[in-house]
Amino acid sequence: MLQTLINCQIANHALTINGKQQFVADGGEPEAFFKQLYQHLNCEYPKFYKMDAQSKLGFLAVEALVQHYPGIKKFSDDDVALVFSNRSSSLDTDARFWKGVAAAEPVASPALFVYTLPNIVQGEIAIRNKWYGENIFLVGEEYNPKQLYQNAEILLQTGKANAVVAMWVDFMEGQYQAVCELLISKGE
Amino acid sequence: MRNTPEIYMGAENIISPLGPTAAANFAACLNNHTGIAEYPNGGLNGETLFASRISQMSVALKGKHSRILQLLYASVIESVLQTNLTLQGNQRIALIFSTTKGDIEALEQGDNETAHLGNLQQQLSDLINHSGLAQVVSNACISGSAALVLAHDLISTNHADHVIVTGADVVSRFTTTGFQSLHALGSSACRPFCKTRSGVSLGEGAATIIVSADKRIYKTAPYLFLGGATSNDANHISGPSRTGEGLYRAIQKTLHRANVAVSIIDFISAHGTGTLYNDDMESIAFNRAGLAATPLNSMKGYFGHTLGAAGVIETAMCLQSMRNNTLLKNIGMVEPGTAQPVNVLTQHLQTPVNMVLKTASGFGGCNAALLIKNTN
Repeated sequence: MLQTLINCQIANHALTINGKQQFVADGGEPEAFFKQLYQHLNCEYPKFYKMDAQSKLGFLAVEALVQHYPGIKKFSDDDVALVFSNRSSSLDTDARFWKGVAAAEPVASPALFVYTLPNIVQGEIAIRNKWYGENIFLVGEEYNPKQLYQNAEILLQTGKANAVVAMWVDFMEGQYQAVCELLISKGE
Repeated sequence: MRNTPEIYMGAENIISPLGPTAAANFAACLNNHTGIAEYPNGGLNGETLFASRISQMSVALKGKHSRILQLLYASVIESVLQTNLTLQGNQRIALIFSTTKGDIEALEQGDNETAHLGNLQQQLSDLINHSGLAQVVSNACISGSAALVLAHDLISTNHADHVIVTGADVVSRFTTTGFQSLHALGSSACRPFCKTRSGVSLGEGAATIIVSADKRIYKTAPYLFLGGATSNDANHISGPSRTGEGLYRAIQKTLHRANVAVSIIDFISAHGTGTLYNDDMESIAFNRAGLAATPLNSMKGYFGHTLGAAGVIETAMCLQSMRNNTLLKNIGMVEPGTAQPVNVLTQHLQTPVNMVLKTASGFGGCNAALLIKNTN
């Protein structure tokens, strides 16, 4: 059985933690909102500005999680697993990269290409938090918390992790949603 | 956790330019054939590149189905026929599909909806009459290996009795121009672990392995799958760790969990992409793990880098090596030259193969390792 230690969500220009709204922006472009949230969280991590939109979204959800649940630091660097899923893989950035290649004067941007994999956001988060644990990225048709929980539980049950950051993180054509939970086995 | 810890893998299939079955691919490699050839106009501005591409599709499905779906369908069906499993109505058979880009050719044609990986998996499930648990794993170049590790754990935690693990990716203008933009492509067919290696050759293909807790489903002997682990370098999203930290940790976790000593590993099926930094990183990780003297190869010289299919293709080749008591040479090697010395196979070697370590590393800093044991 799983226990949720904290739940962070980013959607509709707002950050919500354990059901309580923490920060809300007036509107505007998603990436402008992500920048405001970055400033609100005082991240001080310039690499953030190089990330694609989906990586920014996932990065911010985990920044909020770590700030609001500092107890996560008691887990060793091998003990925190990342179990993520989404619908769009990296299609938003894929389309941006492809637009350059398909242009009359073709351009292939290496800065975009490195983000044309959904699991890059896991790399960004692992680097930021120095987490060396298990990584799995699943792609499905819709947000499926049961699937995330099942995969988290497998890692906890097999002893491969003592804590799982389980996150739905999807950014596609300006539509976005992150639901990020810190999960442990019940009774710990 | 279930009581019986014994989990098997077998019924392997590979579809590549070298053939439509695992046995055909192994025979071609034994004859020193490679799928890598010149790829005219492959580059952004019409440059000739090197890639392993399937020129003719001789598989069952034609017409409106995408190339990748045809590959997947043919691969899964050939594997399933090597077992006595019936997919229809069996909810205890799970399907894991590993890929990086799926039907990327749809995206190139502006059809983002068809390009969804979940869509491709659903089309595959429908074609093969599969209705059990289905998941798509997309962890860059470790996708196939990570999918196999997950299959093991789905069975050990009693979420499934059998798991069909299938991986596929195709060579597309999207991926070739992307790797070209990173200056990661070789100026000739890739030469993993070679001193004068100059980069990756991309490849396309599909492969399938069936993982099961029931030895009796296999028509030919399966091998014991001792599970594996994944890790992250926590270092860089597109550059390999200079210390091999993540790969080292994935190997250590895998050996520790299986209670296997490095001294009994007969062979390492390495990732070996043929880039300077990746192969150096692997050499460092293998040395740290006490595996410097263990014979190893990379299959990339035969198949190119098949991205999301690579882990499944290369693990299927490990099973073929075990079946044939033969380790394949690391094709393309001219002279050794990695940051730390490793024991790269320069000739095919006839020898019993009882314990195999498969490793993989990918963008996003991810690494995977898994162990296979021959008990036959």
